Amino acid sequence: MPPILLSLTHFCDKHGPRVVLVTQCYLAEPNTSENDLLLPDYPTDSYCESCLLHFPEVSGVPGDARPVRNMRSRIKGRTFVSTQYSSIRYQLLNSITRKAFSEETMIYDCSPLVFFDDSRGLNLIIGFKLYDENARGNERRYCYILTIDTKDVYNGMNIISDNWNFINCGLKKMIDDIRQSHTQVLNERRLDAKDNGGIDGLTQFAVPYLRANKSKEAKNLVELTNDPLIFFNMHKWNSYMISSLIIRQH
Amino acid sequence: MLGNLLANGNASSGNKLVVGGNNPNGPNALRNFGNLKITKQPGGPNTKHADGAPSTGTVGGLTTEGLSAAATAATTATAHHEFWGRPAMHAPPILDHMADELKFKLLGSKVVPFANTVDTLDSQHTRENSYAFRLLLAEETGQMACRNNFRVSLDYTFSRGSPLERIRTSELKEYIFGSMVRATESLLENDKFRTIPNSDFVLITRIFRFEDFPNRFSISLCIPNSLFSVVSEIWQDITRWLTQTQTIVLGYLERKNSLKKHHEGAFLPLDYSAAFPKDVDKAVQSLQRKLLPCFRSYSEIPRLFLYPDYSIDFVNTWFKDVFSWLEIKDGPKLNFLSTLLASVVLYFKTSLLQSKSTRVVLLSGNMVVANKLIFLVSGILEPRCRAKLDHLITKEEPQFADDHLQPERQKFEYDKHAADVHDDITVTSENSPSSINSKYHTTTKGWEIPKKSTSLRSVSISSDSSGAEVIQPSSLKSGSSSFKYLSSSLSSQPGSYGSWFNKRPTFHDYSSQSPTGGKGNDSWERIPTTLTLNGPLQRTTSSTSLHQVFGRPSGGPSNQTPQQSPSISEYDEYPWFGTPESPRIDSFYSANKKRMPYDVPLKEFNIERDCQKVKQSDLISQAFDSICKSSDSKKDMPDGCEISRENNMSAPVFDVNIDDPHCRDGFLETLPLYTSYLTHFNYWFQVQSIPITPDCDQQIVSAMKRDLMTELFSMTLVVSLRTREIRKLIMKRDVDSEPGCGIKQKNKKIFNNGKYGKISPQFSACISFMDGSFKAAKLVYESKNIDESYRNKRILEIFSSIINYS
Repeated sequence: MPPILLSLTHFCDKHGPRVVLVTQCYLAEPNTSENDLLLPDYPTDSYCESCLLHFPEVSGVPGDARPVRNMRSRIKGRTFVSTQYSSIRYQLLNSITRKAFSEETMIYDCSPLVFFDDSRGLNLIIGFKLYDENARGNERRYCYILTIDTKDVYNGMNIISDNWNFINCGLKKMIDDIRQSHTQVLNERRLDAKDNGGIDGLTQFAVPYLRANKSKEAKNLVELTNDPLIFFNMHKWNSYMISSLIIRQH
Repeated sequence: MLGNLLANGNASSGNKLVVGGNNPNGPNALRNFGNLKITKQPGGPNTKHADGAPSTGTVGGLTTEGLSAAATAATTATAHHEFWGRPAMHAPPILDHMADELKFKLLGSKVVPFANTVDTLDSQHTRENSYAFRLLLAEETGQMACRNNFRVSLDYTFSRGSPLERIRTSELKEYIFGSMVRATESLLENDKFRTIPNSDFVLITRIFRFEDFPNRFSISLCIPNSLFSVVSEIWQDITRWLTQTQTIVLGYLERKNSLKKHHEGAFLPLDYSAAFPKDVDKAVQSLQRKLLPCFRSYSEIPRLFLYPDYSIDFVNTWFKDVFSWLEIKDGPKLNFLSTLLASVVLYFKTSLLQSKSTRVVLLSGNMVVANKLIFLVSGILEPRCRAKLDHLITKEEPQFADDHLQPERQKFEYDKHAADVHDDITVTSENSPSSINSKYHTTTKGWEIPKKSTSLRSVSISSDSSGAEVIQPSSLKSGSSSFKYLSSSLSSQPGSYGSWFNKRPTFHDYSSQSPTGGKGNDSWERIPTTLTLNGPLQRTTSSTSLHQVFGRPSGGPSNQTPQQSPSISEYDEYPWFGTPESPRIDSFYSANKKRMPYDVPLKEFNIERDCQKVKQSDLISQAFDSICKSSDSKKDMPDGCEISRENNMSAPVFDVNIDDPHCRDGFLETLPLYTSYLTHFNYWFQVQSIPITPDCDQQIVSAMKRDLMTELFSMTLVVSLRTREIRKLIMKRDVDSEPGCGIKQKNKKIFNNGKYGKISPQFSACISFMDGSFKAAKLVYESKNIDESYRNKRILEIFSSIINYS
């Protein structure tokens, strides 16, 4: 069974293609440990709000000042870990993310793109975007990526083929949830603005235009959806999906 | 379904396909072929298609009235079947001739939509028809700064005016090569497939390089979007074709490299098809003859749904059909079914799972009987669905879109007082409709599921106001035995006379594409409603004529007169009890003719599916809500979660508790490559039934030889219902020999009309075990003093022991 990863990636205005969250499964291979997937504390200076993974705000371990950097779950005896980046497949994910955002002509309409090569394995990418007047081009672009890290394309393709609808529907389910929350936030904001006697239909279009030369503000997915548990839920859903894919292959 | 037909039909009556070029065999033929143009014509009824098939003013033999009525139906059909985000979907033609009950048994659903994007108006040319496709051969020159940094060397379209032609190459180039930004990994050969935005097409691309040439080359294929989900499943075949085409291009580049002739940074010729027509022809032929049939097979042929082995309704139905088969087909000592199931369990069940070069092929001229046997065989196969069926069953039973077109049918109900008439009724040519009618009374409720008390002894006959006619096969002479004339139309339930009582069909009979009318009648053979409009009812056997299957244009009513059914040979295929040459009815299985508690049709199962996959969007929604919506988003610390520290190296870990909804456990999304009766042998399907033809053996052997091009071993179980023969074909190739060489073939006869070949003691024991299991199940069903739960438990145990026999 090849390693399967699910990641949410983002084209950050400041940092370019970045991984925001990646979920991996520990496959209990020889000479490996579950702890290999866990990240140490890392500086967040190189991240901005839009590409930083937010963990639920919980009090840390007594006597340990370090913040939480890992989410972990167990399903049917397997361990799933979600982190900001992959400790063991850092280069691979960076390369895939670069290809998704920079090399391919991605259309962010939730239709899948599948590609394979020997170095990057088999990947299924679904792109989506969220409206944000503070982002470049007034939109934030994300890609949900399923990676099957294998050189055996037929084996990997069997996994995709056997679960084609599950993978596509499953990823879209999460994306739809994000977009729904985001739309709700936008609607609330518009209503608030109207109540404050500000924006009508015309100025709504004019504002982004007039702001074109102003500096853009980085915004996290938590803020865009107004859901502090968005990454928490994403970790759970990713874990479930990978678990389901693994079980089907056995 | 009719919508597409009508659209095509109307278009074809008014349009004329003009193929450019005078010499179809010349080097320009391909290009001309790829640039079919449609020009408006005054629209005469005798306008010919490019392929020579006449396009009549009427469609499918329907009149204008019929068209308008059918158009309404088509609208409903299109609207009803538009789900899963696919374009208008309808049932595959092969299912038009399958009774609804059999659909439930074999497919798990009455409605199995598929998106047919092939113009199958000319049904006789169905096999030659093809999906719209576009083949591009392009290279990306090294001039990064230049906007036109690519060259399309070949742009071949087969589309008949499809929108595919109108997608600009400059747009396709964006999806093929992407942006100009390059990473070092991109220098590797890579394959990809994706949708083309704002179109209904998918793009499959291979990008490769040649030696130290700076340019990247690409082979791209555009196909309809309805095939998107199939692409990953047949990726092996796709890459084989891509590699073959790539080899052609690389051959050219090698020649070019040896000549050291480079032309302004571009390596491929300006017009590849003009420069190397044979190369292009080879690639296109391979695409049309090998790859596109593969696409069609995977996307259009409905696959079997294998019910969970814990489903008591399924197991009851399976045993019921086993008993019917034993009673009607096998007789007392034939042991055909036991031997067949033993062969499958012992030699093929596991092998079918492990290798695609293992097949089970049933040869029969009778579609319905063959499908019955397919159900029995597939009942013991894997991989079966093990999910909870509740999750898969739709709440509302989907209706066929053309249901409302069906007339208010009358149903003849067998008189309860004449319940035993099946024992002594004599059906001869002297049987007048009135004499038959005298034993029935009519209702105006239309077709309905027989109630328990009358199911066994009722007969449902499609009827209008006129009386039923008894059709007697001309090949049989009356006199020797009255039962002989019942032939294959004899129901598995004695007392049901099925299709021999048929009537002159009306327009409504033709417009109803699904034999829904017989859904309450578990007849072993039913006559399809697709008959000729003109003239009296033809002599028609009870089985579905192959000509009728072929004669159905794009799912619409046939305008062809059914030919003499080739399946007339079915009379020789089965030993009909009551005839001197046939075995006696096995008294063990026919002793109790009362309705059994297991006699419950598989009607409540209505799995939402298409030809290839089972739908699961509800299931995913349920899982999502269970996992992601259960936690309170306002709370910072969800329940069941805690912070822990593994070691000093890693940062604190947030342990998240996940309640696995388990709803997808045992779920089988992509169905196995097992199917029911096909009109032609299909290389890609592992379980199938096909007509007996002179060359069917040759087709099977050819398929096995083709397997050995990639595999070392191929095995097929060939079951002939005509001769009641079971044999095993095995082909092996030496490990060291080249593909196609050093092949050893073995034909092992297992069973031939009651006589066994050389069989092992283990096999013999398995046959005995099957027999014993059937008898044990029969006894359980006939036991009166056991409660239902215990009986179900025992039956499931017996079934489990059959399918897990090793």
